Amino acid sequence: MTDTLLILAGTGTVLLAGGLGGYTAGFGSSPAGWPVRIALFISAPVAGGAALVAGTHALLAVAIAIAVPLALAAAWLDWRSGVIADLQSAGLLISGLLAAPVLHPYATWAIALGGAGVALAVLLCGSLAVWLRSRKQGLGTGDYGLAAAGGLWCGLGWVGPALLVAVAVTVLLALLRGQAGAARYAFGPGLVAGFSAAVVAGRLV
Amino acid sequence: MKHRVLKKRAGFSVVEVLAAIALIAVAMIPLYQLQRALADAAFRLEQSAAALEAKENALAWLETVNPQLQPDGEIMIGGWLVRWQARPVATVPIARGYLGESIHSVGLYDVEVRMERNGRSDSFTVRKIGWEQVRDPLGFIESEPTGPARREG
Repeated sequence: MTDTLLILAGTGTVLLAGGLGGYTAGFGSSPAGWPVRIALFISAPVAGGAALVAGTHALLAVAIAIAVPLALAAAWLDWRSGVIADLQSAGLLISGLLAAPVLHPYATWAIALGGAGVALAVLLCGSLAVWLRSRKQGLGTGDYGLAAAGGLWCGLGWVGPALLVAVAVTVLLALLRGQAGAARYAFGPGLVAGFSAAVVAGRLV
Repeated sequence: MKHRVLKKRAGFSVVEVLAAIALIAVAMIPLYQLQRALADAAFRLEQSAAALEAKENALAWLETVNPQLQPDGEIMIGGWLVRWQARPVATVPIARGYLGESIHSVGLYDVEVRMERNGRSDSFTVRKIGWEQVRDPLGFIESEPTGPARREG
Protein backbone atom coordinates (compact mmCIF):
# COMPACT_ATOMS: atom_id res chain seq x y z
CA MET A 1 0.00 0.00 0.00
CA THR A 2 2.77 2.41 1.00
CA ASP A 3 4.79 1.44 -2.08
CA THR A 4 1.78 2.08 -4.34
CA LEU A 5 1.24 5.50 -2.75
CA LEU A 6 4.93 6.37 -3.17
CA ILE A 7 4.88 5.30 -6.83
CA LEU A 8 1.71 7.34 -7.43
CA ALA A 9 3.21 10.38 -5.66
CA GLY A 10 6.45 10.04 -7.64
CA THR A 11 4.60 9.69 -10.95
CA GLY A 12 2.37 12.66 -10.12
CA THR A 13 5.38 14.79 -9.18
CA VAL A 14 7.18 13.87 -12.39
CA LEU A 15 4.16 14.71 -14.55
CA LEU A 16 3.66 17.98 -12.65
CA ALA A 17 7.32 18.89 -13.18
CA GLY A 18 7.03 18.07 -16.89
CA GLY A 19 3.90 20.23 -17.09
CA LEU A 20 5.60 23.07 -15.24
CA GLY A 21 8.57 22.83 -17.59
CA GLY A 22 6.30 23.17 -20.61
CA TYR A 23 4.19 25.88 -18.95
CA THR A 24 7.07 28.07 -17.80
CA ALA A 25 8.83 27.83 -21.17
CA GLY A 26 6.02 29.98 -22.50
CA PHE A 27 6.68 32.96 -20.22
CA GLY A 28 8.18 36.21 -21.51
CA SER A 29 8.14 37.80 -24.92
CA SER A 30 8.89 34.64 -26.88
CA PRO A 31 6.31 32.04 -25.92
CA ALA A 32 7.27 28.49 -26.69
CA GLY A 33 5.25 26.60 -29.23
CA TRP A 34 3.52 23.31 -28.58
CA PRO A 35 6.41 21.18 -29.90
CA VAL A 36 8.74 22.75 -27.30
CA ARG A 37 6.18 22.38 -24.52
CA ILE A 38 5.45 18.77 -25.38
CA ALA A 39 9.18 17.99 -25.63
CA LEU A 40 9.73 19.52 -22.17
CA PHE A 41 6.74 17.62 -20.76
CA ILE A 42 8.03 14.33 -22.15
CA SER A 43 11.57 15.01 -20.97
CA ALA A 44 10.47 14.51 -17.33
CA PRO A 45 9.33 10.87 -17.53
CA VAL A 46 12.07 10.07 -20.05
CA ALA A 47 14.82 11.45 -17.76
CA GLY A 48 13.33 9.81 -14.65
CA GLY A 49 12.84 6.48 -16.45
CA ALA A 50 16.37 6.55 -17.85
CA ALA A 51 17.73 7.25 -14.36
CA LEU A 52 15.74 4.32 -12.92
CA VAL A 53 16.92 2.01 -15.72
CA ALA A 54 20.51 3.10 -15.02
CA GLY A 55 19.99 1.89 -11.45
CA THR A 56 19.89 5.16 -9.57
CA HIS A 57 18.01 5.57 -6.29
CA ALA A 58 14.27 6.22 -6.75
CA LEU A 59 14.52 9.58 -4.94
CA LEU A 60 17.33 10.69 -7.25
CA ALA A 61 15.34 9.54 -10.29
CA VAL A 62 12.37 11.70 -9.16
CA ALA A 63 14.71 14.65 -8.54
CA ILE A 64 16.23 14.21 -12.02
CA ALA A 65 12.74 14.00 -13.53
CA ILE A 66 11.84 17.30 -11.84
CA ALA A 67 15.11 19.03 -12.68
CA VAL A 68 15.50 18.13 -16.35
CA PRO A 69 12.32 19.81 -17.77
CA LEU A 70 12.72 22.84 -15.50
CA ALA A 71 16.43 23.28 -16.30
CA LEU A 72 15.77 22.91 -20.02
CA ALA A 73 12.85 25.32 -19.77
CA ALA A 74 15.00 27.84 -17.85
CA ALA A 75 17.76 27.60 -20.46
CA TRP A 76 15.22 27.97 -23.27
CA LEU A 77 13.41 30.90 -21.68
CA ASP A 78 16.63 32.76 -20.84
CA TRP A 79 17.94 32.16 -24.34
CA ARG A 80 14.76 33.40 -25.98
CA SER A 81 13.45 36.05 -23.58
CA GLY A 82 16.28 36.88 -21.19
CA VAL A 83 14.35 35.85 -18.08
CA ILE A 84 14.30 32.86 -15.77
CA ALA A 85 10.94 32.14 -14.12
CA ASP A 86 10.79 31.94 -10.31
CA LEU A 87 8.88 28.65 -10.66
CA GLN A 88 11.84 27.19 -12.54
CA SER A 89 14.37 28.28 -9.91
CA ALA A 90 12.11 27.10 -7.06
CA GLY A 91 11.54 23.72 -8.71
CA LEU A 92 15.26 23.26 -9.31
CA LEU A 93 16.02 24.20 -5.69
CA ILE A 94 13.48 21.63 -4.44
CA SER A 95 14.89 18.96 -6.76
CA GLY A 96 18.38 19.78 -5.47
CA LEU A 97 17.20 19.32 -1.87
CA LEU A 98 15.67 15.95 -2.86
CA ALA A 99 18.81 14.80 -4.67
CA ALA A 100 21.36 15.95 -2.07
CA PRO A 101 21.05 12.99 0.37
CA VAL A 102 21.63 10.55 -2.51
CA LEU A 103 24.36 12.52 -4.28
CA HIS A 104 26.23 13.40 -1.07
CA PRO A 105 25.57 10.58 1.39
CA TYR A 106 28.09 11.89 3.91
CA ALA A 107 28.13 15.47 5.27
CA THR A 108 25.07 15.97 3.04
CA TRP A 109 23.94 19.41 4.07
CA ALA A 110 27.39 20.87 4.63
CA ILE A 111 28.30 19.93 1.05
CA ALA A 112 24.94 20.74 -0.62
CA LEU A 113 24.10 23.95 1.21
CA GLY A 114 27.78 24.92 1.10
CA GLY A 115 27.65 24.46 -2.68
CA ALA A 116 24.58 26.68 -2.97
CA GLY A 117 26.17 29.28 -0.70
CA VAL A 118 29.46 29.30 -2.58
CA ALA A 119 27.68 29.57 -5.95
CA LEU A 120 25.64 32.52 -4.68
CA ALA A 121 28.73 34.11 -3.13
CA VAL A 122 30.75 33.83 -6.36
CA LEU A 123 27.96 35.41 -8.42
CA LEU A 124 27.41 38.14 -5.81
CA CYS A 125 31.14 38.91 -5.63
CA GLY A 126 31.37 39.06 -9.41
CA SER A 127 28.36 41.36 -9.64
CA LEU A 128 29.57 43.48 -6.73
CA ALA A 129 33.00 43.95 -8.33
CA VAL A 130 31.39 45.21 -11.52
CA TRP A 131 28.83 47.32 -9.67
CA LEU A 132 31.57 49.01 -7.64
CA ARG A 133 33.46 49.76 -10.84
CA SER A 134 30.73 50.85 -13.20
CA ARG A 135 27.48 50.91 -11.15
CA LYS A 136 25.92 48.37 -13.51
CA GLN A 137 24.04 45.19 -12.77
CA GLY A 138 25.21 42.22 -14.78
CA LEU A 139 23.01 39.39 -13.54
CA GLY A 140 19.32 38.87 -12.84
CA THR A 141 17.63 37.22 -9.86
CA GLY A 142 16.96 34.08 -11.91
CA ASP A 143 20.69 33.59 -12.46
CA TYR A 144 21.23 33.53 -8.68
CA GLY A 145 18.40 31.03 -8.18
CA LEU A 146 19.72 28.80 -10.93
CA ALA A 147 23.27 28.96 -9.55
CA ALA A 148 22.08 28.15 -6.00
CA ALA A 149 20.14 25.15 -7.30
CA GLY A 150 23.19 24.05 -9.27
CA GLY A 151 25.31 24.36 -6.12
CA LEU A 152 22.85 22.12 -4.25
CA TRP A 153 23.10 19.53 -6.98
CA CYS A 154 26.85 19.46 -7.56
CA GLY A 155 28.09 20.27 -4.05
CA LEU A 156 30.76 22.52 -2.64
CA GLY A 157 33.70 21.08 -4.53
CA TRP A 158 32.31 21.31 -8.03
CA VAL A 159 30.96 24.87 -7.99
CA GLY A 160 34.24 26.34 -9.28
CA PRO A 161 34.56 24.07 -12.33
CA ALA A 162 30.79 24.36 -12.97
CA LEU A 163 30.92 28.17 -13.08
CA LEU A 164 34.01 28.11 -15.29
CA VAL A 165 32.19 25.87 -17.78
CA ALA A 166 29.10 28.09 -17.44
CA VAL A 167 31.08 31.23 -18.32
CA ALA A 168 32.82 29.46 -21.22
CA VAL A 169 29.54 28.15 -22.63
CA THR A 170 27.86 31.56 -22.23
CA VAL A 171 30.64 33.35 -24.10
CA LEU A 172 30.73 30.62 -26.75
CA LEU A 173 26.96 30.82 -27.27
CA ALA A 174 27.13 34.61 -27.52
CA LEU A 175 29.89 34.32 -30.13
CA LEU A 176 27.92 31.71 -32.07
CA ARG A 177 24.87 33.93 -31.88
CA GLY A 178 26.93 36.84 -33.19
CA GLN A 179 26.13 38.95 -30.12
CA ALA A 180 29.54 39.20 -28.49
CA GLY A 181 29.04 42.93 -28.00
CA ALA A 182 25.37 42.74 -27.10
CA ALA A 183 23.96 44.21 -23.91
CA ARG A 184 22.47 40.92 -22.84
CA TYR A 185 24.13 37.57 -22.49
CA ALA A 186 21.95 34.60 -21.64
CA PHE A 187 23.72 33.08 -18.63
CA GLY A 188 20.98 30.45 -18.05
CA PRO A 189 22.01 27.95 -20.75
CA GLY A 190 25.63 28.20 -19.60
CA LEU A 191 24.66 27.66 -15.96
CA VAL A 192 22.53 24.63 -16.87
CA ALA A 193 25.35 23.17 -19.01
CA GLY A 194 28.05 23.90 -16.43
CA PHE A 195 26.23 22.50 -13.43
CA SER A 196 24.94 19.48 -15.38
CA ALA A 197 28.50 18.66 -16.44
CA ALA A 198 29.68 19.14 -12.83
CA VAL A 199 27.00 16.79 -11.45
CA VAL A 200 27.91 14.11 -14.01
CA ALA A 201 31.63 14.59 -13.31
CA GLY A 202 30.96 14.39 -9.57
CA ARG A 203 29.23 11.03 -10.03
CA LEU A 204 32.00 9.68 -12.26
CA VAL A 205 35.00 10.79 -10.18
CA MET B 1 31.99 72.19 -12.23
CA LYS B 2 33.05 69.11 -14.07
CA HIS B 3 30.56 66.54 -15.16
CA ARG B 4 31.90 63.07 -15.65
CA VAL B 5 30.24 61.43 -18.62
CA LEU B 6 30.10 57.67 -18.55
CA LYS B 7 30.49 56.22 -21.98
CA LYS B 8 27.82 53.66 -22.65
CA ARG B 9 29.42 50.33 -23.47
CA ALA B 10 26.72 47.88 -24.48
CA GLY B 11 27.18 44.42 -23.03
CA PHE B 12 30.49 45.26 -21.45
CA SER B 13 29.22 44.99 -17.87
CA VAL B 14 27.95 41.46 -18.54
CA VAL B 15 31.33 40.42 -19.93
CA GLU B 16 32.99 41.96 -16.91
CA VAL B 17 30.70 40.04 -14.57
CA LEU B 18 31.43 36.81 -16.43
CA ALA B 19 35.18 37.49 -16.27
CA ALA B 20 34.96 38.24 -12.55
CA ILE B 21 32.91 35.07 -11.95
CA ALA B 22 35.45 33.02 -13.91
CA LEU B 23 38.32 34.44 -11.84
CA ILE B 24 36.57 33.79 -8.53
CA ALA B 25 35.48 30.34 -9.74
CA VAL B 26 39.14 29.41 -10.34
CA ALA B 27 39.83 30.32 -6.72
CA MET B 28 36.97 28.02 -5.65
CA ILE B 29 38.44 24.91 -7.30
CA PRO B 30 40.44 23.90 -4.17
CA LEU B 31 37.09 23.56 -2.38
CA TYR B 32 36.97 20.09 -3.94
CA GLN B 33 39.57 18.99 -1.40
CA LEU B 34 37.40 20.44 1.37
CA GLN B 35 34.39 18.50 0.09
CA ARG B 36 36.43 15.27 0.05
CA ALA B 37 37.71 15.94 3.56
CA LEU B 38 34.18 16.68 4.83
CA ALA B 39 32.77 13.52 3.26
CA ASP B 40 35.68 11.37 4.53
CA ALA B 41 35.34 12.76 8.06
CA ALA B 42 31.58 12.17 8.06
CA PHE B 43 32.10 8.62 6.72
CA ARG B 44 34.65 7.81 9.43
CA LEU B 45 32.42 9.31 12.10
CA GLU B 46 29.46 7.20 10.96
CA GLN B 47 31.60 4.05 10.86
CA SER B 48 32.95 4.75 14.35
CA ALA B 49 29.45 5.40 15.68
CA ALA B 50 28.24 2.12 14.13
CA ALA B 51 31.17 0.20 15.63
CA LEU B 52 30.57 1.80 19.03
CA GLU B 53 26.89 0.89 18.92
CA ALA B 54 27.80 -2.68 17.96
CA LYS B 55 30.26 -2.86 20.88
CA GLU B 56 27.58 -1.62 23.27
CA ASN B 57 25.18 -4.26 21.94
CA ALA B 58 27.83 -6.97 22.25
CA LEU B 59 28.61 -5.88 25.82
CA ALA B 60 24.91 -5.93 26.69
CA TRP B 61 24.68 -9.45 25.30
CA LEU B 62 27.78 -10.55 27.24
CA GLU B 63 26.01 -9.50 30.44
CA THR B 64 23.87 -12.59 29.91
CA VAL B 65 26.81 -14.90 29.18
CA ASN B 66 28.33 -16.98 31.94
CA PRO B 67 31.86 -17.66 30.65
CA GLN B 68 32.26 -20.72 32.82
CA LEU B 69 29.24 -22.42 31.24
CA GLN B 70 29.56 -20.84 27.78
CA PRO B 71 33.29 -20.37 27.21
CA ASP B 72 32.75 -19.66 23.49
CA GLY B 73 29.96 -18.96 21.09
CA GLU B 74 28.63 -16.63 18.43
CA ILE B 75 25.48 -14.62 17.77
CA MET B 76 24.19 -12.13 15.16
CA ILE B 77 23.38 -8.75 16.71
CA GLY B 78 22.25 -5.88 14.48
CA GLY B 79 23.94 -7.32 11.40
CA TRP B 80 27.24 -7.96 13.22
CA LEU B 81 28.51 -11.49 13.83
CA VAL B 82 29.73 -11.46 17.43
CA ARG B 83 32.08 -14.27 18.50
CA TRP B 84 33.48 -14.68 21.97
CA GLN B 85 36.11 -16.89 23.52
CA ALA B 86 36.68 -17.02 27.29
CA ARG B 87 40.12 -17.80 28.74
CA PRO B 88 40.38 -18.46 32.49
CA VAL B 89 42.58 -16.09 34.43
CA ALA B 90 41.99 -17.67 37.84
CA THR B 91 39.53 -20.34 38.89
CA VAL B 92 38.45 -21.85 42.19
CA PRO B 93 36.78 -25.30 41.93
CA ILE B 94 34.80 -24.71 45.11
CA ALA B 95 34.79 -21.26 46.60
CA ARG B 96 35.51 -21.07 50.31
CA GLY B 97 34.54 -18.25 52.63
CA TYR B 98 34.34 -17.62 56.37
CA LEU B 99 31.02 -19.44 56.43
CA GLY B 100 32.61 -22.52 54.90
CA GLU B 101 32.44 -23.99 51.42
CA SER B 102 30.28 -22.35 48.83
CA ILE B 103 27.94 -24.24 46.62
CA HIS B 104 29.58 -22.55 43.56
CA SER B 105 32.70 -22.99 41.57
CA VAL B 106 33.86 -19.56 40.39
CA GLY B 107 36.43 -18.23 37.97
CA LEU B 108 37.75 -15.00 36.51
CA TYR B 109 37.85 -14.98 32.72
CA ASP B 110 39.22 -12.83 29.94
CA VAL B 111 36.51 -12.85 27.29
CA GLU B 112 37.85 -11.92 23.88
CA VAL B 113 35.07 -10.60 21.63
CA ARG B 114 35.43 -10.33 17.88
CA MET B 115 32.80 -8.58 15.74
CA GLU B 116 32.54 -8.85 11.95
CA ARG B 117 30.30 -7.17 9.41
CA ASN B 118 30.71 -6.72 5.64
CA GLY B 119 34.45 -7.33 5.76
CA ARG B 120 34.92 -4.99 8.71
CA SER B 121 36.04 -6.40 12.01
CA ASP B 122 36.67 -5.12 15.49
CA SER B 123 37.64 -6.80 18.72
CA PHE B 124 37.87 -6.08 22.42
CA THR B 125 38.45 -7.98 25.63
CA VAL B 126 36.44 -7.81 28.84
CA ARG B 127 37.10 -9.51 32.16
CA LYS B 128 34.12 -11.38 33.58
CA ILE B 129 33.35 -13.65 36.47
CA GLY B 130 31.96 -17.10 35.66
CA TRP B 131 30.27 -19.44 38.09
CA GLU B 132 28.68 -22.82 38.27
CA GLN B 133 26.67 -24.47 41.00
CA VAL B 134 28.50 -27.64 42.04
CA ARG B 135 26.75 -28.50 45.29
CA ASP B 136 23.19 -28.70 46.49
CA PRO B 137 22.53 -26.11 49.24
CA LEU B 138 21.49 -28.94 51.52
CA GLY B 139 24.58 -30.94 50.65
CA PHE B 140 22.79 -33.92 49.11
CA ILE B 141 24.19 -33.41 45.58
CA GLU B 142 27.80 -32.78 44.83
CA SER B 143 29.34 -32.65 41.39
CA GLU B 144 32.53 -31.59 39.70
CA PRO B 145 32.56 -28.28 37.84
CA THR B 146 31.90 -28.92 34.16
CA GLY B 147 33.40 -25.75 32.68
CA PRO B 148 36.96 -24.45 32.42
CA ALA B 149 37.11 -24.29 36.23
CA ARG B 150 37.29 -28.07 36.29
CA ARG B 151 40.07 -28.21 33.72
CA GLU B 152 42.09 -25.51 35.40
CA GLY B 153 41.22 -26.50 38.94
